[in-house]
Amino acid sequence: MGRKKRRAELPWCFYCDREFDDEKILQQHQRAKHFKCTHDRCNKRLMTAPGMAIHMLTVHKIKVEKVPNAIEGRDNPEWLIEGMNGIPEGFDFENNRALVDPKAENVVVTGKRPNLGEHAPPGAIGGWGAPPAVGMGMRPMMRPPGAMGMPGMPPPGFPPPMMPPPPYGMMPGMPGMMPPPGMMPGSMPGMMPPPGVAPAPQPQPVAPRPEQAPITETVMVWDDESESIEEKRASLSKYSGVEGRAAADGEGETKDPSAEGEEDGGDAR
Amino acid sequence: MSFGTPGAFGGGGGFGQPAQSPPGAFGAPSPTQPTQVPNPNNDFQVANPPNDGISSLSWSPVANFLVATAWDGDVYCYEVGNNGQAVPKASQKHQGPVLCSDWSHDGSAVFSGGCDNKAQKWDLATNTPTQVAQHDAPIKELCWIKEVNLLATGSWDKTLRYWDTRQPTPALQVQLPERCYALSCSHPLLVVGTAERHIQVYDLNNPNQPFKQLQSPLKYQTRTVAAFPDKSGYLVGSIEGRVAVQHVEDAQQSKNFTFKCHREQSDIYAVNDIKFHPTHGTFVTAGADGVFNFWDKDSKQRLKQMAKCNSTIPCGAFNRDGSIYAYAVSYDWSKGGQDPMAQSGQNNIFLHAVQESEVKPRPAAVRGRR
Repeated sequence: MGRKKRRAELPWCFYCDREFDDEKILQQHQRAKHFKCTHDRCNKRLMTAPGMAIHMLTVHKIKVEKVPNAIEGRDNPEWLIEGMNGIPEGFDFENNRALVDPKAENVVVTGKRPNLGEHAPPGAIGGWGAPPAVGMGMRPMMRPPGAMGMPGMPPPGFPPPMMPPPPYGMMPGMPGMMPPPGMMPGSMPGMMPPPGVAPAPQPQPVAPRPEQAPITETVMVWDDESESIEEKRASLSKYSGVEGRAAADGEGETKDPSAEGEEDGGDAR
Repeated sequence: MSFGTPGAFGGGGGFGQPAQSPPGAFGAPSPTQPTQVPNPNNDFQVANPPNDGISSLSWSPVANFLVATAWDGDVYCYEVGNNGQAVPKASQKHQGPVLCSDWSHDGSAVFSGGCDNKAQKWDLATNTPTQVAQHDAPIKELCWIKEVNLLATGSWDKTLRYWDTRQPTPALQVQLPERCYALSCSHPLLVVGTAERHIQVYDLNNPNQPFKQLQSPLKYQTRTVAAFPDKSGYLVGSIEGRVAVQHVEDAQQSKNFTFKCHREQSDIYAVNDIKFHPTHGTFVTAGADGVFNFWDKDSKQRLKQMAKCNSTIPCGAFNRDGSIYAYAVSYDWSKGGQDPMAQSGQNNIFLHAVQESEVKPRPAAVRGRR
């Protein structure tokens, strides 16, 4: 899958799988996309997800359940991840599950992705609640300039400056793709496949992807490409019939401004 | 920021905040829910607003006089005092919906154009309107170009015409590839956005031929354009809640980018209007979501998002020194005639006392702000 094909060890964002030219830009990205206070007027950028969670809880009384714009399963706000540091050891990137309890002392400073299927201790529980389908697997599709906006986007704002284009060819498997049913995040631990066998050799769940199509959820309020809003409005009988309109107006709507206007016009300079 | 009391603000073009203004932008919880607060930003409300959809707003370049045009054919002129109160001074009428307006550079006359296919010059001293332009279809946009003393009019008849205002025939007529939807001029740069997403860029030193012709960088219908005050480029706003920052010169194409705005969860609203601040070079977008936002394109930041109004914002305008942003809260028809907003018939104009922090460019990086 895309994970393994990654060539150079560029810094990449744990939350959304984007690659960056250097770690500084990655940190900027994380602050803008993942560690930004989602309160609409605040937009404070914190340095870490727990920092954001604390800020939002104390300042806005909002409990952060998920890191915004993160791939499902990687959105635990308790993880202290900064740039490439703090990625939970043994994270199952294939299925976006932590293989060990993130709260245990396993948070290791690592820039490497573990080999998939390396260790999968039993009892691993993946997923923290099921985030809405939006945002899943959508990163690769957001890029075409001018594309329809997606739900689950951060509050409107400029993209962080200087981002390199995302590695198109490198995301064939769509990060955040649905894992096989038995491995649904949030499903019961008992249903997990036996450890070790877990993730790698199951590349088939490609089929159900088309059905998710969360893109259609966005609605353009005005989507008539052939005509502008004004053209449509002007074609209404109310406006197109000049005669009728003038008559209607003549029916004693005396407007204050116009009444005053005629005499005072000279002053209005 | 002191609180405004009527008459307390002499000097300058601006005025204080209305007395009930919230103390700060960040502290108070913002009314994001579709609350039906008519004036969520506590701005000054213009009394005696137009009686139908407001189509354009423009300020006199010499004084705090505001012109509003409306779909019922009215053109109103208000005088705005330092206390934020607007007094209606005069009005004129078109024989059809008015779509656009502009002032002459000396503030002596107002130009307006609309669905009667005409543009008229309203001489304020004599309070007499004169027809100065004629098209074969409604005039969607017009613009007085003081450097050449010509009025530019863009119409749905797919032409752009320049008028000397004393001649019945245009000084120049230029064919457009499609119906004119948007026009903006910052001499010698003139940008026209048309239907089918054409963008025509003119250098007014040679207005016969477009300096550049291109497809809009945005995928959807062009709604508004705004030429940079420094003439190096222009902004394009589309019906799909997106703005493109475009530079004219090929060498600067790498600086082009687009960004999203005026969206709310899954709803994508049109960007109705973009206006540059006259001194700071930042700009404001107004959308069919009822929000207006201040932006800094150079640092790629949103400077301020204002609270959502209870109807759409079809248009807005900075006064001459940028201390006041007037915006209309009036249904723009983007949801058609069945929408409750169409029935409510509320048409208001608000005057926002622009804060320095909303329009002053900010350095690009916001590092270290914890």
